[in-house]
Amino acid sequence: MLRLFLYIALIFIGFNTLNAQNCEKVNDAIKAFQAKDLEGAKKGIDNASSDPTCAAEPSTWYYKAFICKDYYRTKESTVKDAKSRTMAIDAAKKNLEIDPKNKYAEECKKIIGFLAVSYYNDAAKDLNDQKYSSSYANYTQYLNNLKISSPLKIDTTAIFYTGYSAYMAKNNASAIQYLTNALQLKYKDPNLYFYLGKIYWAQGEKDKSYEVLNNGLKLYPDNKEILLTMVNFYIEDGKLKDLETALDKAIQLDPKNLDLKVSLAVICEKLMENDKSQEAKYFTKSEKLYKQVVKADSNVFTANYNLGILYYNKAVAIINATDFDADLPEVNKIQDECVIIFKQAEPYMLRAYRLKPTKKEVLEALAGIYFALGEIEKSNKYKKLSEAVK
Amino acid sequence: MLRRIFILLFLALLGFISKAQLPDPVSRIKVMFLYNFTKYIEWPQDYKQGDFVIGVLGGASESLKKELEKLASTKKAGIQTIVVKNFNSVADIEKCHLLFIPESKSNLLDEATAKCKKNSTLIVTEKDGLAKKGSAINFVVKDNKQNFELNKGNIERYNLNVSTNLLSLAIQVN
Repeated sequence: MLRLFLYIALIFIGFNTLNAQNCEKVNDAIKAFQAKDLEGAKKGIDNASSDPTCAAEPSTWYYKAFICKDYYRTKESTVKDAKSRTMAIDAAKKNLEIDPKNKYAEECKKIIGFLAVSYYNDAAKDLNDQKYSSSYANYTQYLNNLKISSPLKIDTTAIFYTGYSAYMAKNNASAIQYLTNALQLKYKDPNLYFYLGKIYWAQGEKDKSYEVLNNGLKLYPDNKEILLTMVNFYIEDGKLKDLETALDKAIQLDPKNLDLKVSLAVICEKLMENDKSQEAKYFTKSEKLYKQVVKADSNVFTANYNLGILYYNKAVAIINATDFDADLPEVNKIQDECVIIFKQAEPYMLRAYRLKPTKKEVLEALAGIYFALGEIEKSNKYKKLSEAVK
Repeated sequence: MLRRIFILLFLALLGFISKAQLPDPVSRIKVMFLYNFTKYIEWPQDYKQGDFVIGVLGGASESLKKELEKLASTKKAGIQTIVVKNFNSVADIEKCHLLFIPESKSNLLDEATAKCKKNSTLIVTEKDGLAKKGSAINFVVKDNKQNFELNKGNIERYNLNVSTNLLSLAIQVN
């Protein structure tokens, strides 16, 4: 996923470009460098840049950038937060700042560009090692230096991973900044919407979260991460209708996922309770989903138990909805209807009992079903078992 | 990451198990029957004034109690207000139109009938065989449904008249 940059070839600048300077200290450093005495060269250029006369020369900073970069490359490329790299970049920037003729500008930008890439590589490694604070710091160094070395280049991948690193490092403000930037730059990755949606949610900005996730879903309609994130948020938010839509969609994507079906069935039961005008519709939908689950795997406890209760409650609701004024033939008719429904509940609840024989709710439900059917001995049996369960 | 999301989802939904509705449906059906009895049975003139008293011997189950309270608060027996009274013992039984003896108190049927001998009280029970042993109406289960046995003789003994409609719907017992 993360592409690791290989170190690019050194910017070959021959020693012939190192010209004699007005500042003797710089000349000493150059001589040491040419003699392959890197320690001496670095010490010498540090000494020169501390000299006010030498420091006023733009070339001093260019040579310092060059020597420090080489020092970093040779001796400190594996050192965390290597000082030579920072010194090289600072020196190159100083040159760019004080060189009125821009004589070394291109060379300095190349040095910064080379070192920017080294930050990128470090960031990518940190990311793989899950050192998110460090990867965030290295990515930002990369991006900041890239602006100097290649002002026209926009690395949207790096911007995204900077945001991702910030998110993982729990730096939400920076994460939003970079991920939003990646979004504006039309970076193509569904995770962008997924993470940004999650961050907005964590910040309490629910509308923005839904907006981002919905936009993500429009672009990536098959993405389960975005969809299931929305499902969780809808659950948390109590948005059952939206949840139903999201779960419908999730099931379309993953029709063999029984957990999704049970979840949707539960949501339909809740919708049934909340909206009486849609009761029949959601009863049928819930019943169908539970049956699909039980057919696919008869050992799913929740589906068996909930289906049993769904039938039981339906019959009870019919009876409770019947007015006391109902005449006896009508009461008998209702009883006929309800006996069928109670009997529908029985096999599912018995299976739930076989799966969890000491589950109090199951025992109570069986006692209730048999009581409603007038099978008092059976009802009492399960009632006693239920009472024995603490 | 996907796994973590699933876990969140399951915690929220898969852990959810439905709840059975209360009260139990049988109590409501029995109260519907009782209310119908008030329509098909005729009490003597002096019982057509004042409250219509439904007595329960030994206390009703919570479900039955709730349903009787609902009935009393929403319906009338003709023009009479329905009042539910609980009699802890046979000695406590007062003049009432209908006396319901729960199954757990079935052993008190003889005493209760003796106590109500001079009254026009419809005695309703819910244990097999009691219609032959003194109750006027006895709830029974037939084909998984609540039904009732009716002993016309036991009704008329208390100076009550039963309509032919009710007779036609009942399991008649002599």
